[in-house]
This record gives sequence, C-alpha cells and structure tokens, in this order.
Amino acid sequence: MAFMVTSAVDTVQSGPAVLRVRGLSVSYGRLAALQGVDLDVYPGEVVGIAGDNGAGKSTLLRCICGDLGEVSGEVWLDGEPLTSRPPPGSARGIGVVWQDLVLSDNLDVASNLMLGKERRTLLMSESRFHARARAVLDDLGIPIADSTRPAWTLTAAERQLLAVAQAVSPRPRLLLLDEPTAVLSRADSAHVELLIRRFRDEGTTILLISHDVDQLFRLTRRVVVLRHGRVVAQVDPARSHPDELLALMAGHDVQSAPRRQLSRLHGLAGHLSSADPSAGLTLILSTLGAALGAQQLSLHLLDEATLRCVGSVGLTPALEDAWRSLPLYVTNGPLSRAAVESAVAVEPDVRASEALGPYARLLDEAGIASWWAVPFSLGSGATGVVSIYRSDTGSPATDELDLVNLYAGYAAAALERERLLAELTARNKVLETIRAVLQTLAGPGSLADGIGTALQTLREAVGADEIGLFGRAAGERTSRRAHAAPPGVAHSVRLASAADAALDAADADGQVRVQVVAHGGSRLVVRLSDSTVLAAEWRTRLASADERVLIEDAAHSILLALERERSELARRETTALRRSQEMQRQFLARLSHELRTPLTAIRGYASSLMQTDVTWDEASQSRFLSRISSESARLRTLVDDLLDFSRIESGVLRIRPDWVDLSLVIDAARSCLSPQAADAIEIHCAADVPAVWADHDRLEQVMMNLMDNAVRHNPPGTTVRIDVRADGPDHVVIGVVDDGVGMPSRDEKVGAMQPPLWRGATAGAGLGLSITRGIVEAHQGTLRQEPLNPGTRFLVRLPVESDALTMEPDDA
Amino acid sequence: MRDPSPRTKVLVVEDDPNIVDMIRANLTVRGFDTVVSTDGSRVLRLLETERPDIVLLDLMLPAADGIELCRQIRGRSTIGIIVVSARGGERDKVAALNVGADDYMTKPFGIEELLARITATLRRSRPASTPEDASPVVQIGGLVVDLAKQQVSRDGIPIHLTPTEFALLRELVIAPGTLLSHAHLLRRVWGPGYETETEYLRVYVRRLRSKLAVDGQAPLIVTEPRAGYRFAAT
Repeated sequence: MAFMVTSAVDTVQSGPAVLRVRGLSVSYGRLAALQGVDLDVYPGEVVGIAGDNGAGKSTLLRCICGDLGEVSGEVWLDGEPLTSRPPPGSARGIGVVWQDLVLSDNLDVASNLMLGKERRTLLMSESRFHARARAVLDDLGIPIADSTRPAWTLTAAERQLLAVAQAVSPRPRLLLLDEPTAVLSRADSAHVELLIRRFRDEGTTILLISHDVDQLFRLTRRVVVLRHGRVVAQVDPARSHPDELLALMAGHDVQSAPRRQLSRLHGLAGHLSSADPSAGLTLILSTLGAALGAQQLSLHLLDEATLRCVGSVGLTPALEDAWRSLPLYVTNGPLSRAAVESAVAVEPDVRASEALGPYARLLDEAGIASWWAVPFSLGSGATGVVSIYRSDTGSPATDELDLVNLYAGYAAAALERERLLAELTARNKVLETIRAVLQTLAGPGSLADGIGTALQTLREAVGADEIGLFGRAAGERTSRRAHAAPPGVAHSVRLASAADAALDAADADGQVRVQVVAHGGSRLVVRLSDSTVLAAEWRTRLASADERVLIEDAAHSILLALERERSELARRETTALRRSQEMQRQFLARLSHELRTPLTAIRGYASSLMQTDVTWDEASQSRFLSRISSESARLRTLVDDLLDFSRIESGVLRIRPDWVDLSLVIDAARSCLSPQAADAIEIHCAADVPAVWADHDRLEQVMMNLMDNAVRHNPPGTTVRIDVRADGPDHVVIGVVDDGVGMPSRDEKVGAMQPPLWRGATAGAGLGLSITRGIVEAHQGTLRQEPLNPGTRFLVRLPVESDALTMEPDDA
Repeated sequence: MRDPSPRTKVLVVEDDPNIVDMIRANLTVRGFDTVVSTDGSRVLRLLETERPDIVLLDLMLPAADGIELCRQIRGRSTIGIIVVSARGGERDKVAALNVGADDYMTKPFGIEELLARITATLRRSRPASTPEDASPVVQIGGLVVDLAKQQVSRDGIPIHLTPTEFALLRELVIAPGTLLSHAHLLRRVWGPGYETETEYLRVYVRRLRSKLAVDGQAPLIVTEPRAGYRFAAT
C-alpha cells in the first residue's frame, strides 16, 4: 500500500512539535470548515497540506496564525497555547505567504519588504533603508534590482517572490505558505520552489499548502490530506504516487485507473500551457506513454505521400532513423493503414506479421511486440498518426484507445499551436521589414536616401537579387530612381524594360505582374502610379507567396512615402513663398518707417515754424532748423544706402580698387561714429597685416556699419573689439566682436539719447547688413556672423589681391 | 485751444528723439503737459502714475509691439488713443482701430493735423453739453443711455463704453429711426475732415454692436448698405 494513515507515516520527531493542533473545529454558520483536525509539525519538517477547494486548507492556516476568532480546539506554538487575540505572526516567529497577495501596491519594494518590521527599521534613512532591502533581496537571490519600484509595477512572479521575501526575511521558525506558486508560470514557480528548498535545507519548519500535487511531492516529506474539513490521510511522497494523493483528496478509490489518468491530464494541461511549444509533443507522448505503460511512441504527420515523424519517445536510434520519413503504402503496416483509412490500425503481434517486411526485424530488435496506430486530424485538415509500441502482444482495450484518442487531440492542438506560431513568426518578419522600410521612409533624410535604404532592407528580407524603383517623367524614357543589389551585381537591363512595359501597359495602380524568366528565375513588377514602378528580380528561383506579399506591402509603403514627399515639397514651397512675402512685407514696413521718420521730423519742425498762433523764441527756431538739416542728411544717407542696396541686388555695385591700409580704413570708420560709440571700440591690428587691393570708401562703409551695429545692438557698457590679422599669405580677416555684457538701459530721458546724426540711418530697415555683405562679396570676400554667449562676432575675410578686381576706368 | 482747463496731459510714445522734441515743443507752447516713453516698455505704468488724458502711440517701437500695447491700454482704460504709424494702408488702420484706437495718423504729419486730431479726440472724452434738442436720458427697451453722465446700462447693469464709442451711440440714439449717413456720423463723432474714413465707422459700429448685443434680439444698430446706419426705434 502506497499511502498510510496518520499513525503510520514516519515523522522526523526531533524534539517537541513546533506546531501542535488538537481537535480544531471552525464553522462558518452551518458550514463546518474544519472538524476536529489534529496536526503535529516538528522542527525542520516540511509538511504539505493537500485538499480540494473548500477542504479547509486556508482555514487551518488562518487558525494557526490566530486570524480566526470563533474556533474550538487547541493550537500550541512551541508549546505555548494560542490565545484568541495573539500578537501578529511575525512577532511569534511565524512567516506567512498568503494565497491572495497582501502587498501594498502603492508602497515600493523596500517598504513592502520591511512592512511590519520593528520601528527602528522604518526610522532608517532612505538610503540605508533601501540598502538593507536590497541586501535582503540579494541574500534570498530574488532578482528585483530596484527596491524603489512601487509594488504595482512588479510582475506576478516578482510580487510572489517579494511576498515570500517579506515572510522569510525575519527568518521565522515556522513558515506558512498558502499556494505560493498558484499564480506563477512554471519558470517562476521554479524560482519560488528553489527558495522554499533553501529554507528547508536551512532547517526552517514549513507548512505548504498547494494544489500542485507534484510540487508537494517535490518539496515535502509528508502530505496531510484534508477533505471536508477533516484530515483523511497523511501521505509519504517517497512511497506514494501523486495519483493516490489526488484520489484521497477527491475521496475516490485510490487504485482507480481513471483517477490516475485524470491526474496525468491535469498535470499535462498545466504543463502544456506553459511549456515551450516544441517540447509540447514530446510531453504529450511521454504522458500518454506513462498512462498506457508504453515506453515507445511516435507521432507522424502525413505530408502528401510521406509520413514524417514530428515527435517520438523512447525509440531506438535505428528505429528513429528509419521512422523519420516513411513513404505511404509501403510495408509499414498500421501506420499507413491508419493514415489512409483514418481508422485505428493494430498489429497485435509484430513477429507474426507478414506485412511489415524488413521493418519487422527492426521492430523486433527494439523489443516491440505489438503496434497500434491511431489517426487524428488537425485543424488545418492534415492527418497525423500516433503510434504506440508495446513490449507485449495483443490489441488495445477500448478505454485504452479512448485514452490515445484523447491525447491525440492534445497533440493536434499542440501541432496547431506550433503551426500558428510559425505562421505568426513569418508574418512578424514581414511586418518587421515593412516597419523598417516605413521608418526609413518616414525618417528625416530625403526620400532619395530613404528609398535606397528601404529597398536594400526589402531586398534582403525577400532574398531578391535586385530591386529597383523606376520612374518616367513625361516624354522621357523610364529611368532607375533607386536601386538595391548585392555588391558586384550588375543592373539588369531587363528589369528596367519590364518596368517600362508595366508603365506602357496602363496597369491599375498597385497591380502586380509576376513573370517567370530564364534559368528558373522570376520577376515581380508592381505599378505604383502612372509614372512609378517597383520591380524585383530573383535570378534563379521563383518568389514565394510570402515574398510576394512583402513586396506588395512595401510597394504600398513606398507609394505613401512618395505621396508624402510630394505633399511635403509642395508645403515647403508654399511656406518659403509665404515667408519671402512676409519678409518682403516686413522689409517694406521697416523701410517705410525709416523713410517717414526723418520726413515726419522735417515736416513737423517746418510746420511748427509756420504756425501763426505761436511765436517761437530764437533758440527754438535755430534748434528746429538744425534738426531739419540733420534729418535731411539722414534721409540722404538712407537714399544713398537704398541706391547701394539696389546696385548690389542688381549686381552693378562699382568697386574702385587701390592698395588699402586696413588700419586707416578702420580709424576712418571709427571717426564717423559718435564719441560715445567710438569710445566703446578697441582696435587691435597685427603688425604683419598686408595692404589689400580694395575700395577704401566701400571698406570704410563696411567697417562703419559693423561697428555701428555692434554698438547700437548692445547695451551701453558693451565693449566692441576689432581684430585685424593675416590669414595665410593671401587673406586678411577682420573680426568685430562685442561681449554683449553691458547693462540694459532703463533710462528713458530724451537727453540721454544719441544725437540722430550718429544713428545708422538704415539700421531699422536692415539694409546695413545686406549692404555690408554685398560690398564684402563684391571684393570676393566672405562675411560670417557667429553668435557668442554673450555677444556676437562678425568675421570679414578678404583676399589680399582679388583677380576679379581690376582697375576700372573712372567714368564719373 | 489755449490753456485747456484743467491742463491736459499727453503721453507721447515715440522712439525718434526729433519727433518727440517736435511734438513736445508744440504741445508745451500750447499749454499741454507731456510725458514721454521712448521705447514703450513703461507705458502701462505711466498710465497709472501720470494719469494722462490722451496717448499718442507710435506703432513701431523698439521694445514693444504697438498693436499689442494699444490693446493693453484699451483693456485698462477708456483714455483717448491716437495711433501714429508710418504705414497708411487700410488694413493697418483697421487693425489699430480694432484694438481700441480712437484715431489713426500716418507719418509724416504736419503740426496742424496733430493738434486737430488731439483736439477732436479730447472733445469726445470731455463733451461740453448734451445736444440741444435731446432729453438727457434716452431709454430703449432695457437700454438706458444717460447723455449727460455719459453712462449706459442695460437692465441696470452698466456697460462700459469708451468716449468715442459713446459719442457714436449718442449720435444714433438722439435720432432713433432716422437714417444717418456715414459722412454725418464721421463728422459728428470724429470731426470735420473725417467724412471719408468709413472704416472708422465700420470698426466702431461693430464694437458698439458687440457691447450692446443681447442674445435673440435684433441688432439695435441697423446697417443701411452704402448709405449709413439707423438706430432701431423700438
């Protein structure tokens, strides 16, 4: 007998019981949850508690923790009777991991871990608190690296591991685990089990409630079986079979074969849901083998006229080899028969069979006496056959065949799953490629670059030898816009002619032409628009359906990208046009303002003098007149600038070159500025600066504009530094740098303003910089503006002697 | 014109020192006080500390957007605002009127024009008396227009109008039902010489309508296309 009642189980009774339960009864109203339960757990023992739902497992655990009020019976912990309102479990050396997780979602990992710990822990500094939490997690080997994560961000496995860690971190003497792996995948369960094993090995006394019978068998020395609130048996895993435990839980006859099957199916279902699909078939076959007592099984799929072996258990290498691919209708007995007739085929005595021919010996050598082949059909319509090879002769019983059919159904589902997965993978690959293509096309680069990369990606994804995008402008020949081919592969002229033909044929947009070409190659031509075609060529093979789909999808993406580029181009043109109109409008507004301002002063002063109702004193009169004069000068400068500007714009600016000393030019320019402005300017002229072949007056204009700009656009107190140096033997560089550090003006008194004579007349219209640039460029030089922080730098680079500037006859 | 009593204070917002000097010399000699802001940055504060009677606002300022500044002044005060601009286009004019300017003057201008505009704008904010043949309080439906106190209310709730808006409303309500021509309204409200500035009228009628509008009621100011406006006689 494989199981024993309570008294017969060997218990490791080292010392007094850690936990002693006597006559424990709990009722919820009329429902008795526990009825007179007795239980002893000794130090270092790992005791499992098994039972169906409602058997009283969790209630027992709650009683042990003292969480239930109305109980009869007695519970002792370490010889101490449990009172009705005990201190919290942790204080009594009990750690509990509840089935329904009791993490606080809003707290972080560390806080959950330290929950219920002594106050001292909670008063720790944040960094020490987390350091300690991490130390606990590390010690337990729990892979949660960041202890500041809130609990709700954890995965189910992490939560459970954290709950275990929370329960065990104070090293309890008794650890109560209520379904610790129920919500976890197998891999994650393994981690928790590892942890439990470690505590077990360290001598922690553990009470483990689990639905997973196998887990109880793996981890415990003794399993207490509860049914309807009573302890019905205690099982020794070392001497029992999990099926027996299941039978005890359900109250069935322990020896019942169907019960055993049920448990196997139960386990299989659990395994399959988490197993790697490729392992699924083997798992099904071995479970079926265990159920039938057969050591050797195989599974074949009918593929046209061939039976391919897709899974096997226990076959000898010779048999495995021979069975890998079997032709239909050949002497392989029940396998072909089952596949063809879609009915169970049995060879009750392999040795006596005539039909098996050469295979008979092979089977005999593998110790096979009888062979059943059970066909099944897959969702996709294909046929599969499960073969069971037995070491004894005879035919299967009906219930055995039912069992095989049941497992064949599982196998079909697993195969179907595998097929879908493969399909999905292929589809994903297609999607991935399209996504890459789209990303490239949507990227910031120009479409021309994007298309090239996209085509390359596409070509690799479909394994084509060449892919090209062809376009035809009105009245021109079709030309290659973008192209992808492996290095060293020449462009195919035929691909271009195929593209040409597709454009001529007036196919519908998106229409795909499939062409077979010489040497078994193929070509796909997709028309994108009336002027664009995407063409791909495989030189030595036909394109697969998948590849064709991929090309079609990509063609669609490219079409969209082309459309996008076209509209983007149109949008950019519109924006540029609008911006230039806006700039023109602003320029005219500024110009109008600059022209009308001196005019306003002139007209205002003049009309003031003409007023008959007032008589101006002499000082006023003379002030008015001098202002009229200075404003007239300002107007003239502005008009001169406008003329210069229009000369530059129309390319007729006259330069009268001569050998010019730049330091003289700069001095002259500075003397034109107001005294305050001139004071702000420091001039550094290197000794080795050569004279340049240039127009002195024009360069003076350049320097004045730049200095005036620097002084005027910066707050008072800003220093402007002019550096003149040679740049190689052939160039001179003049830098105008302001440090931009002056204080912004708060002074609004008119008297503090600069006299208008010194103001750059054209500054407001923005002509100064244009004219400056125009003059520099007319000297074959460059003007660069660089922002500094703070400040700005203008760099004028002039050739010492420009070929373009020849002495012109003065036509003045 | 001489010695307006009490002394009138003009806030001049203008960045060109010569124009400021020219304006100030002319205003001072005629008994006005002047306050100057050369970049527009302190205008709102000067409005409170100096309490000017009228603002001359140049639109192109180094430190401020003139249109935006005009909107902000109008948002705080019913003070007369004359906008000065180098641009004389209709769109610029309407833009300034839309944000609350009472008048718009294009550069360059003569001193007579400046003085005339200032006088006209001041006249609206300081009406000498009610028109001879009008009762001092006009009531139309829930709308009460007190011509003497320059106050308007609807159902007891005051409606705030600028002097120019009020001047326009006055012209309309003292002759209910009568078609008033553009030229007549412009001359009466802005003064002689404004007869062709129909965009002034369009902008101010629109503003007045929106201030007086009541949901679900026919507009009080009726447009007679190409002729003028009429105040709806109830």
